[in-house]
Amino acid sequence: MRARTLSLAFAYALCALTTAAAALAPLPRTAWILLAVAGAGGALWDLRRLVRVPNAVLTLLGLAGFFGSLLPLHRETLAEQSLTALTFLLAIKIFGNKTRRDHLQILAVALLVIAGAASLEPEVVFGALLASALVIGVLLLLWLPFSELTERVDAGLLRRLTLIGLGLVGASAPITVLLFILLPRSVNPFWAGLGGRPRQGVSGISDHLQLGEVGRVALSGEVAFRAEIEGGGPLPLTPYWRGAVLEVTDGRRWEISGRSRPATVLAAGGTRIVYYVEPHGNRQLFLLETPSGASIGTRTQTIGAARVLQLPLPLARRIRYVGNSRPADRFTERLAPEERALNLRLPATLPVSIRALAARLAGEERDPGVVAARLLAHFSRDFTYSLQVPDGSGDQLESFLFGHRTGYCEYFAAAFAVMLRTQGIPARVVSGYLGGDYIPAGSYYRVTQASAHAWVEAHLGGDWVRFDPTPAAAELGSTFASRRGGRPRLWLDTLRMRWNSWVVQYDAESQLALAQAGAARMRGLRGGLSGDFRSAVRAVAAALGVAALIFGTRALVRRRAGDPLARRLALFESLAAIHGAAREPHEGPLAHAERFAQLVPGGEAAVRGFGALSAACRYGRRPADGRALAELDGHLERIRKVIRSGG
Amino acid sequence: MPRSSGISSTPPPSAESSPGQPAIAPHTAVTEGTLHIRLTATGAIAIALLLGAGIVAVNSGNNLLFLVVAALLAALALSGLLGHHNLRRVAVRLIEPDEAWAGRPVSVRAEIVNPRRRLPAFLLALGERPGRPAGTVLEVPAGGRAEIPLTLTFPTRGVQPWPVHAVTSEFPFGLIRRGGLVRSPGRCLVYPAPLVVPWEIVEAAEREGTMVSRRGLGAGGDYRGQRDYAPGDSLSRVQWSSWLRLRRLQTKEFESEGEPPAVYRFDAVPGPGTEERLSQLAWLVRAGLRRGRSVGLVLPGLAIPPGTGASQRRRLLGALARFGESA
Repeated sequence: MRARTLSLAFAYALCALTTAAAALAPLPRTAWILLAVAGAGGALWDLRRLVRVPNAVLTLLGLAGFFGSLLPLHRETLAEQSLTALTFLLAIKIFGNKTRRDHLQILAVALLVIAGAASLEPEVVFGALLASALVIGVLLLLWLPFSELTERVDAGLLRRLTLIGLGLVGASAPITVLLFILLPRSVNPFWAGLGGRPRQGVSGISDHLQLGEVGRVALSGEVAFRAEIEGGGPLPLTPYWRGAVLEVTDGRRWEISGRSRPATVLAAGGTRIVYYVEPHGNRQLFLLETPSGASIGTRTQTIGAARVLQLPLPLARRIRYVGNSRPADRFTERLAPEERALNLRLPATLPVSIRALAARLAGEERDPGVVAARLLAHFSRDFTYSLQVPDGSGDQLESFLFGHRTGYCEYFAAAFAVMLRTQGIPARVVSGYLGGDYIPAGSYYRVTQASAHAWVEAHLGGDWVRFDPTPAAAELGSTFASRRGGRPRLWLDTLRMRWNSWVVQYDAESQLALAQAGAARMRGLRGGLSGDFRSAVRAVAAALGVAALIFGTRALVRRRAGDPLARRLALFESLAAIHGAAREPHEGPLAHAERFAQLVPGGEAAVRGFGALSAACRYGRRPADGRALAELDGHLERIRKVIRSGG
Repeated sequence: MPRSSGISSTPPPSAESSPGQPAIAPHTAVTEGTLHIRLTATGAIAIALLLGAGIVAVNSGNNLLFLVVAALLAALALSGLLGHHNLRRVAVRLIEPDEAWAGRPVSVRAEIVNPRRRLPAFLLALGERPGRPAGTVLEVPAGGRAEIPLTLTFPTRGVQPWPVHAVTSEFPFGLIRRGGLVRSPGRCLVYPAPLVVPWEIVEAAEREGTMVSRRGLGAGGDYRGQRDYAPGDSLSRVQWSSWLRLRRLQTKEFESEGEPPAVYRFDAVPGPGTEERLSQLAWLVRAGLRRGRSVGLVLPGLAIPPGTGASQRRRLLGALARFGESA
């Protein structure tokens, strides 16, 4: 194989990886098509040695494409525009002649495009693409200096270089991890807002609930969020992930009230859970019931009396936040009169038959808890859970309760809440997710849109108590691994989770948290070590200290070894050689010093002084003792200073 | 083994080395010389790109870019170690040429040895100055050696030290050039630059030389005498009659049939200065020996009887090169 062909193969491999990244990322289709065409055309032309397009034409085309992609600039699409512009540059480089410098530029642009594409679509596949590009880049960098000096590839040399390259990559990995952790992150990155176009995901959870909405998304297998349980899991009970509290209804539609409520002082503690929520275009975030606190970054969030977490703006990018929860089906809250009225308000068009049904089921019972239980029991009889709800005539709730008796969580929750209100029990609908697949390998729950759910909270005896009237609720949290039958899928999801939590979401807050955790652990080590262990640590530290002393002394002795005068002469001669006064073979030290002195204006005295003294020590009677050496060092230092100052 | 033009690398001859450990005594280790570390032009571009990527990473918060920067920084750090290790224990020496004449370019071989047991040394460049290599060898295998041809010019005659030369390597990535400015051990004997002498002076010098010398031994000429037999003497020249008389073998000697020997005297050439005279004598010696004559030399304080052959040539030119050294 020809040496140049191998360099080209590395360049085209980088081009292929970049094309894949551009195709997978939300970039204009022209980007990856252009790269693919340039790669294929360039390879064909390189192999067939066809006539090339002149470099000037290619440069003009590249610049036109580059600026054409950037103009006009839009804040929302700046990242896509920049990456598309870079793909133009890469395409031109791939298509044109490839010198050593071009290969370096190809590597740099390819890495930039892949990393940029990964920021638009933070999936683990980009990590794989990036790692491949880095490995190829290292091999390319290793090979390039050789390719300029030889025509053909020697198989043995190539094998040895490949082994060195792979060894280098392997040895770099831990340093890369360390640097990745330590490289300083900005708390508020300057260009963070200039990212790609917000992604619009699908979610069954929003600030309202319309009968039939959840059904549309319940079949979706898309991940809504992942929740990592600190200290491991799984949770003792099927988790209810609280999203929105809906209190206002007209019979068909439930909405959040929009009332501002004073923040309640919540008891801290509980299970700490880290959430990674996919962008869904709504303001709602999710917390395990019953939440007691939340924080996004370092900012503590107000979750309010309704115990929900909302963003000021719709969620357009993946987000990480931390919540604390105490798994329970109730929480205490004093209900103000206006809130009580709000949670008892019935739709104006509520059919009489529903009131009558609720009254009949309650009977003479006055205890709200018993009434609620009786109403709940009604839904466990003769009702069918199905996502296919038959079209009913008239009021949808009436059709559900008295007609087809078939529905899903929204129907059950809405009907139950309304029936509770008719009996004077404050009630509201809560939307969120139920269950999810617990992934033991990563200690996290993977919650998909299929787990979207709605349930009811009734205010009983000063507590908001959760009721779930949906008969199939327990089955909603079926396991992902068993349902999809794939351990590989499970591992892949764990990989995605880790990629997201360890790489994509690692930021200044994570750095701070890591530093604090490290400091705490060190404090713990200092305080909590046993006497034996402490002695062992001291012994190891002492051994390391002795080893360092021995090696340091050895290095110092080695450095000092040899003829000190010869070392200084060699240094003087190399200084002279670098500045165009290499000592000629016939030249004596004085003549050499004189010639060197002519080239160092301002340093003549030092140069001549060095020449005279070194000659006296070497050929005369002057001993090369400490004083003479110090004097020589002084001359050398002055010469260096003059050279540095450009004199 | 890959080669660049005129450059070869070979495993060491076993006679010169202990197993796996070639002798390095006559070489100068590269790391003994003055350290030379410079960023190459490619390295400067790479550092600029890395800095740019770092700035974009910090300002965008893109962790993938942080990953790229971290990986490249790690690779750069390790490449520094690898580059340092690449030159460790590598040594160099210049091999004295058959003949070197003052003021004339002479081709010299530089031998680079890699005495390490396992690791090859890569991309070793040798030249008068760093960055201007006279030759680069792709790989010197572990325990092997390579040769790079160099062209040197010594301005004056005499026993000269080798000039300082740079042994550098841009391994592994070609971003940093590191190496040392070293002086090869040993010295080179440089003959005076030959200076053409007018023909009448040649004749005069040869006439004068003839008066102080005899023709050399050979065949076909006059009978010169006899001496004791020495093993290897032709039996046709054995004086058998001496055996009968003296009871020992003797061999007859004859003068050579060709031109008479020439002895060139220091004061027979016009000069005017000492160096010019030495140069003229060098030209005369070279021309005489080329013509097959037996040539001798008389210098102030030194007389070399006429003779022929390569050893005589080295003796005569060496004497001219060293003339005045002890003074």
